[in-house]
Amino acid sequence: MRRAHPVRRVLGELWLVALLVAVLLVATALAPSLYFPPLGEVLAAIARGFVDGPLLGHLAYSLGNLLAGLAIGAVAGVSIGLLLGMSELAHRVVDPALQLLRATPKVALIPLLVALLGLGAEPKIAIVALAAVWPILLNTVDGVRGLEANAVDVARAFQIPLGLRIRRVILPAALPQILAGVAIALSLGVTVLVVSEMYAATQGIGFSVLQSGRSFDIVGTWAGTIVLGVVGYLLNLAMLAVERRALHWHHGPLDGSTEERGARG
Amino acid sequence: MTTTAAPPTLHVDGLTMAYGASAPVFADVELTVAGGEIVCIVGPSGVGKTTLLRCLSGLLQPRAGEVRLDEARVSGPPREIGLVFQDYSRSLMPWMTALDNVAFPLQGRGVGRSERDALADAALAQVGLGHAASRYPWQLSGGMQQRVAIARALAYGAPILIMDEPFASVDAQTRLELEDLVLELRRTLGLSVVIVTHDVDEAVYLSDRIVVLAQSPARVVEVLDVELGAARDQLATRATAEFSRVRTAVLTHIREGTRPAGGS
Repeated sequence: MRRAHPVRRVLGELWLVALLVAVLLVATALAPSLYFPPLGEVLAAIARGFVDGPLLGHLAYSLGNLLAGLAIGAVAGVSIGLLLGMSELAHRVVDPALQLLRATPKVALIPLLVALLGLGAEPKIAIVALAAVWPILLNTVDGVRGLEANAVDVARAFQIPLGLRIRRVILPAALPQILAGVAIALSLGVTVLVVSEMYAATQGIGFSVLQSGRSFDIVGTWAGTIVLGVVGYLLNLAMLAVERRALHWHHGPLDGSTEERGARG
Repeated sequence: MTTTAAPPTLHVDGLTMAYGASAPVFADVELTVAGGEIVCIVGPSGVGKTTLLRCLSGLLQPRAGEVRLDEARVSGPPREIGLVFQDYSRSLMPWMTALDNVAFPLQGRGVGRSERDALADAALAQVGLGHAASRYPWQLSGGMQQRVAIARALAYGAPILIMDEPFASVDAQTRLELEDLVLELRRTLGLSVVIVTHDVDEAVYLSDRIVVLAQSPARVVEVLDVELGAARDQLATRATAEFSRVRTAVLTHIREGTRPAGGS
């Protein structure tokens, strides 16, 4: 497959977004309404908010909590997932409980976590971790259990010790599914984070959206909402880039460019 | 260079294998592979050849009987045996380069990075893949992948190669090349080689001895010495009277061994 020029690729993917922005710019400017302020004003508010307003601080606070929560969720999910994936017995015993916990909406835990941990960053990190751990854990279990019998035989035949086996056979084999779990965890994490910031917080993007809404600063509300949308999109892009990089051996065979890559030797 | 100790003799005594309560897969298998010998195990498909190899290599515990290397009883995968699997595409780790795949078992033994890379490089050169060390398995053809798998067993330093239908899924030309590679490795490194194959011609071409498995449960119905000498040639050897004599004998035994089982 031939790769298009980068500029053409971006245009190809974003033309509809650009068109929508243009239509909204014109439409909201021509017919101003209380709830749909001119998009130009909203964009100006975002720019101001980043330069000398509180938006940047809110964003940094939210992103910090999100990443901390995701990291905790990922470490816990992968470790527990490895254990359950490798032990048939542990999996059989724990699986029903896992399914029950997974099915519980995590936002329902926010009031409890706030009561336990207060208004600071801790309950936010905790709720993100609690939401993120499930898809990562369950995907890790699937990935580990799906390990090819051949790979197991090779590891046994060449007497690969357990630690090395985990690090260089089991985890890489499960990595595509683990990363797919992380991608799901990312979008879940953003959702519960914003909800938790709206429920009880003094900082954060969710808090700023709620607060501006309450004080009828509709421009500010839109500004925060748009920032959230864009941040979600960028995080997703970053996730795809990480996947592409970590799984180059996995994507390689699907790209159909064997000769070209092979010639590098 | 890969250093390989002189191969111990592989003894198989009264080996019997059964899964659970079901009828044995094979029973009372007797086999001896002296150092530097190439022995092929042939038999109809489904006769239990792969199961037998898994017992020989310590991956499976037999129901009865034993496998010994000289006097040492095999109770798990031994250091002296390098396994080459049938399904090369899934026995190499797709996330490792050819070099890392070959060096991996050495890493498992705690060999340091530079030393294991040097050993892996030498092993890759031995199988004619010195130029492909940094490629990933998907960038290699089937025959090259199987060469990597052979190099992995060589780098491991195992004096005995055990190969399960190693060339079953490569094209005919590649297959001949890989057969000659096995002969060459035996000549240069003094390896013992045990190969399971369902291809009678391949067995005759490679072997010093052919063990015919047949019946159900499978047993050794015949052991045939192949008097073709050590140096062989794909064209000349296959045209000799000895080649066709052994080939006919093997096929006859397989046919006779299959008939009483009542199969088609």
